[in-house]
Amino acid sequence: MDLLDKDFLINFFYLSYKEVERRKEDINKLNVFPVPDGDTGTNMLMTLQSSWEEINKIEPKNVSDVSEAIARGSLMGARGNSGVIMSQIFKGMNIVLKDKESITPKQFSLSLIEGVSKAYKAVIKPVEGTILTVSRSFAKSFYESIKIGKNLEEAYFNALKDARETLKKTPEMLSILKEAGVVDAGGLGFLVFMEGGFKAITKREVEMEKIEVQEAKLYQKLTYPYDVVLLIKTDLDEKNLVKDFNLNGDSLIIGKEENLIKVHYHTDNFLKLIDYFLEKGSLVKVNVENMQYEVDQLSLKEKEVGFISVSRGDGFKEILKNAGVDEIVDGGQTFNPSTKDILDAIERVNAKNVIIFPNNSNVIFSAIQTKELTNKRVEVIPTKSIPECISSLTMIDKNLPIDDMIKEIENIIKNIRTIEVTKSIRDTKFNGATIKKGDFIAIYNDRIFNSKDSPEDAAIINLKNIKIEDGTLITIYYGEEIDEKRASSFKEKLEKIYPNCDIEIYSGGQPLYYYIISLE
Amino acid sequence: MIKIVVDSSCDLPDEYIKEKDIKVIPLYLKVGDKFYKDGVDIKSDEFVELLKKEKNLSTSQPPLPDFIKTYKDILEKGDDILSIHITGKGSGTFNSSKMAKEEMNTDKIDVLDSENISIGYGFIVKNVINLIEKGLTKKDVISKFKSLLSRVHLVFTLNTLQYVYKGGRVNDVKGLILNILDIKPILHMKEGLPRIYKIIRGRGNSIRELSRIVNEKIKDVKENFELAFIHLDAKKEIDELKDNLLSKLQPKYHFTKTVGSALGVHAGPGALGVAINFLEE
Repeated sequence: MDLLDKDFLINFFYLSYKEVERRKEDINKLNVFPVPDGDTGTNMLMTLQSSWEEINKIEPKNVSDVSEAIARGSLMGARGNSGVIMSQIFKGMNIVLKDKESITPKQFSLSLIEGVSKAYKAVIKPVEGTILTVSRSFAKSFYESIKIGKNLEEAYFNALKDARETLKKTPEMLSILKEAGVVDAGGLGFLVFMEGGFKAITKREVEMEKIEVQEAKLYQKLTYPYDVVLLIKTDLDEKNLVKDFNLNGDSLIIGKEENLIKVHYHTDNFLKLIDYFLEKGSLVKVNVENMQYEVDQLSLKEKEVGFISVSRGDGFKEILKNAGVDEIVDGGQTFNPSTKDILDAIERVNAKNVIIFPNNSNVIFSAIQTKELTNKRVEVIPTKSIPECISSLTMIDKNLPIDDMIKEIENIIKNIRTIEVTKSIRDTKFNGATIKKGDFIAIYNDRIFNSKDSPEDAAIINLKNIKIEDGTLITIYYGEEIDEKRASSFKEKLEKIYPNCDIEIYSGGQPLYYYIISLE
Repeated sequence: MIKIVVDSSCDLPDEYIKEKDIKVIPLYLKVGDKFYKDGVDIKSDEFVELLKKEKNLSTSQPPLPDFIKTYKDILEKGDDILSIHITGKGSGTFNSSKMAKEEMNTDKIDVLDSENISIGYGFIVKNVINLIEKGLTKKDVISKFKSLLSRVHLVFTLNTLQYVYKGGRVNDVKGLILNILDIKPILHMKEGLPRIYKIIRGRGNSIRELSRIVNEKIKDVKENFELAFIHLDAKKEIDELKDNLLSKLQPKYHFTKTVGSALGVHAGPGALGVAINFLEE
């Protein structure tokens, strides 16, 4: 049997270390556990580097000297969690390799077993699905193959294969990896290290099965959700077909199928994509799939509590979605949704319990009516404005039981005041003031102030009649008739009047109301 | 004699550290592949500037040799060691200090997990020192240690979510919406990790809420407590909060300090907070 000597071990370590250096960035990209700071590869490399320097400081006479140097160097240079674990593996290996002139493959495999066991002991709470699991899988497989008489190369190759399979399973063991759609970074680091070392055994370059490395997706929000495949009949060739194609997206694939051209693309705007190709020929077939939906379905379990909000305006819809609303029912002032509209939304929400924010006093009643018409538990929060809904949803703890949540929401709403700025549709008298049709009016509870000049003036007159404490958050949602520039200058004006308040502006995109302003 | 060893994240005032002869092991600040010793190579005022400028700034636990060297120096003088560290759930520092102890194979070193951060951790160290000064043995201090942890409350608020997202150490902020709606979470320590205590909209509101929370926690205690005010690049606001709180509360001792880099890297500029230390009778 071949004995492995000091030169083997030096060579083995060097090639492993260099392989980690080469693929450092791949490892970094995956890093989500325990802390997603993207430095696993860097840390591991620095740990190995320190070992390599230690080997170079001495003139090793035997395996023992090399192993000692690796262990000492890594211990002193260990960075980060995976580096610390690697150093413990080397330390454990050194227990077996110490005092050895040269070693048998069996002793080599035993040293790895000892190393892994040392690493498990060193970590206060070992977590499976990490470098620990992958290294154990390697060590075990390696040792067992050697035990049944396989030669070094074969046993090592099997161990690599098994470790690779284990690595692929890490997302099943550690949910955070699954959520991020990655395998464990430390585990990959270990595998890469071992793959490098394989070249010392085979003494040649080895083609390895590639582990697909995808950057960790911490939030599964797809930039280009639509997967579009279209078949087009055109006189153009593939190259000219996409000559001036410049739509945002990725994964463009073009292929010829008999006399048709097939195009595949991921985009956020499939209508534009289709428009583009319509001009180039006639479309035979178009297939659009929303991948976001699949992603959501995969990760979406039935929720305990779902949220429905009645709202108008694209800006508001966007904000509400971000704030955690599951379904939005189109509607508001002069455009009240029917009970059926709300009921449909209730059925669409994947939740046992549903909280509805009507956001308008005229909608509250239809919302309440749905309670009788569904098997789900429905609770209606009598919100009279959209900001009440937005603030509630951003501030509550969504893991609370529904009853506690409702209490908390009611408390939040108490502290929110909303002013709505619109145009009077008729002549009227209010609290002694004469309001003409076409006047700008700002409404707060039962107080109305008007201005002939501008919606901003009406708002300011009303605000000045409200007690606003320092530190109050004033949020301005501007409507579809106001552009961003005008809204910004309104904000600046308010900042001068209320220098000690926080003022925020967002596009609500709502019709009828120039501004909806909340104070909280 | 019992010597206290801490890491640089404890945020105790420099004078106090000097007076009590506490040994500080610096954490490392990492910029790309370069490392700097926290508080040694980079002072706290330089840190804020660096944080604003440098996108790839992170902290790293001290390497084993730093622990070993500090421990060796102390042991050579014949002293015993209590090494108290930033929460083990949030940092590898505690684990490393345990390894260093194991490496040195001595029972003269004891390693304790503060389960807290910044001055929350600092107050726990201070309480340990009080016990030692009262004449308790190391063994007694260690057996009392767990009960000290619940005496310290740290609450703080952030002005931007950018850093806490990037740092990835506060799990439950993942559910928050980045940089819209002016969200200012209030965080506290729970089971050794920073967690969201409450979500508030608006900076003014979050500082008012912080003040309310502190008042409520102290409500019935008349005198036996201390306060620490910490901030990162928010001097004016922390002073206002302090004046406001001190007009109603009479702590036995209080101080204001800039947040060290360990918390600062994750909290970002504008972070401010209060730690309450309920003293023993």
